[in-house]
Amino acid sequence: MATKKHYQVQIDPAMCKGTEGCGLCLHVCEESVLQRAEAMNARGVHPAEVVETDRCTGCGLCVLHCPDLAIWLEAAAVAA
Amino acid sequence: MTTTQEARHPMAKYLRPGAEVTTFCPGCGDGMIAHSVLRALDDDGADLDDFAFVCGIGCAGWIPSPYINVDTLHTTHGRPLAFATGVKLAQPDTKVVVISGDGDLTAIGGNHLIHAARRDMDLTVICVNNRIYGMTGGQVAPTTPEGVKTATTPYGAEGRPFDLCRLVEAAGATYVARWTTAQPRFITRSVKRALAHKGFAFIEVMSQCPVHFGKLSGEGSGAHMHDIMRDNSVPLRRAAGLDPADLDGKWVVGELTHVAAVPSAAGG
Amino acid sequence: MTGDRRFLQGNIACAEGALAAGCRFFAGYPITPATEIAEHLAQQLPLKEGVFIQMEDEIASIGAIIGASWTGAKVMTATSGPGLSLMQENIGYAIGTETPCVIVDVQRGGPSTGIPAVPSQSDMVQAARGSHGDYESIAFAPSSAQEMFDLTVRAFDTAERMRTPVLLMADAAVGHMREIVEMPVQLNPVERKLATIEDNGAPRFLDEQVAPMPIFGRGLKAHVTGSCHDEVGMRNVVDAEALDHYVRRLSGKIRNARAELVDVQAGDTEDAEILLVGWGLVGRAAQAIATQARLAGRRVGWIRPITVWPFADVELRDLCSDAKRVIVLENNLGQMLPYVQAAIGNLTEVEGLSPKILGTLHRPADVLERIAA
Repeated sequence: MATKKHYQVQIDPAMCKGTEGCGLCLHVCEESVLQRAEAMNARGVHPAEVVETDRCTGCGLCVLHCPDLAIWLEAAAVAA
Repeated sequence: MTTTQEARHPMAKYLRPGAEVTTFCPGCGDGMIAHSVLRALDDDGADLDDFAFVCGIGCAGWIPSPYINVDTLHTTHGRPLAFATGVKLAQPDTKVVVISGDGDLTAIGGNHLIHAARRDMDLTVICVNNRIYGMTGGQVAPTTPEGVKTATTPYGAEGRPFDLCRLVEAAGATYVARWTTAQPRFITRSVKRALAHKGFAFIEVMSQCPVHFGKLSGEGSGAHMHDIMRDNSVPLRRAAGLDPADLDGKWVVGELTHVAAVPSAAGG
Repeated sequence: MTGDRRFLQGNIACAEGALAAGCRFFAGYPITPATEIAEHLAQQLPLKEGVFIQMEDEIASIGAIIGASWTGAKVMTATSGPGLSLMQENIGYAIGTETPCVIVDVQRGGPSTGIPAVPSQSDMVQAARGSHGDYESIAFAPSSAQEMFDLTVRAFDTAERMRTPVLLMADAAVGHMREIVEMPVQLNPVERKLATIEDNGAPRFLDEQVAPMPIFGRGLKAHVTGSCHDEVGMRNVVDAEALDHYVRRLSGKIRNARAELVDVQAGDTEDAEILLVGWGLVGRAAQAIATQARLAGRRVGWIRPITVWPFADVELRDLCSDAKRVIVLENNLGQMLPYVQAAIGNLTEVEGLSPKILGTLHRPADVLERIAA
């Protein structure tokens, strides 16, 4: 049975410096997985949040471009 | 703050407890470089207890200090290469990594830069080049492009900026690479190569400073500055076939020099 | 050379003292009249599995020895006035980070390039106040080739015990004179206290009793910074309270140890009407001249503080309170004089006397003439 990888984007909103000043993850994502959160974090900025996890291809650009270790990927094999 | 019970970024294990949040501005490239370095260490399965990190004054000095959980020497302005030389010569088995900014390493620290390179001192040096003095509020640096109106060049910066890679290579460095934060995987690969290299390894990484340089130059936000770097990076091989005039305003990226270790490499 | 009795140049005796004390790392830059120290160690250190490097300038030299000290090595540099001026920022760094190191200053005529090979006490206050901020200095002044050996050993022991830089304030004459030097067979050098993984959480900085040093390469993940920091080395550039703590603890560490640091030699002081005070070679002259004056029937005594800093104010008060006059001999325009005046000016008359020609040693006739005046 074929399996495909399913990627779960993990975001720690407390570590995110905010899409207003940063937003690099949103900027480099080519699949529109992420968006600016409506709620503010404790820092008083709007962190990134996942819109649509199924669109994620696991390219990892968001992880590579985050200056704050606020975003990472967890992968799991799922039956196709 | 996440705990070990909860989900945690895979690179968080390298961070000094209590210092997990960087002080970098939102969108600053320095955090990206920090993580490219951590990914290199992780790929290598490195034990940080085999390392000493030496850094100077300026935003880039805060990449290892206090963020990375490793023996760290945060020195006076411009002097990390001199201090690092002492560490390496006295404790040759330690891998000594210098991370500092362009102002620290090439202005006030310029003399130490050319001599450490001349000695081919076995150090890995990451020069975080944001083309400005960021921490003190946006003054001109030896790497600021001509004409940019900084806090101390209100009528436009005069004089050509350094080509740091050529400078360091001419001084004697045996591994020289240049990347921008638009090439994070390549930064990681160069860091691994630099760590394995016996001799003076210099990696210049262009880093966006949206708050000062971005504002003063008109390059704008971190995301926009990233795009400019991505779109104006020319790989070495392609650059070789281009007219020098075509490279104006562009960054030639890649491993520009890689000379195998010679027996006289100091500290190697 | 330990166990030997040799006819040695002062600078060589200093270098030999360093080796005997366990110095295994020297970084320096050539400067008259100190260069012989570097040249001797360039030859000798590799023979003892030590490291010698000539750096590109004095700033790099002190930087390199600080880096090496953080690996646990006993380290030294040697320079003269212009080089000491260049080193000041990093001397402050070594003090602030509690980095043991020895800095030899073979003083010459200043200011600026001055005259490289004449003796002078040009840097006596620079030794205490050359760097910025509040801090306490430790400095010794040798008066002979023998003391170039002995006080270099003492400088290392003190640096290791106090976890701080120690200066050796020589001059061109002491550095270049040749005299018999006895080198003991056995020395028991002091070793710095080291932090261990087991004592995690214990102070590594800012302990007035001297914290154990978290040297590199032992998995201690030390954080060393010249920024204001706390007991575990973590930077705090926000709270004034942190600065207050940092400054007071660093100075308190030295002040607490004053009794063991201050060493003063004196003679013929009990019934003295006039006391001659001098440091280093000038202090040696003060002793000789006081002896001459005694032979001529004058009640003259002499005081030679071996320790320049901390200043021997308490000791001077004890020794000088019954004297009518105190003449401070210095081969400069009076750098230590204001400190002497502050300490004992209310007890006795204090005056300074430079040599007739700065850059030469005081002539007995000139001092005796002042005594008679």
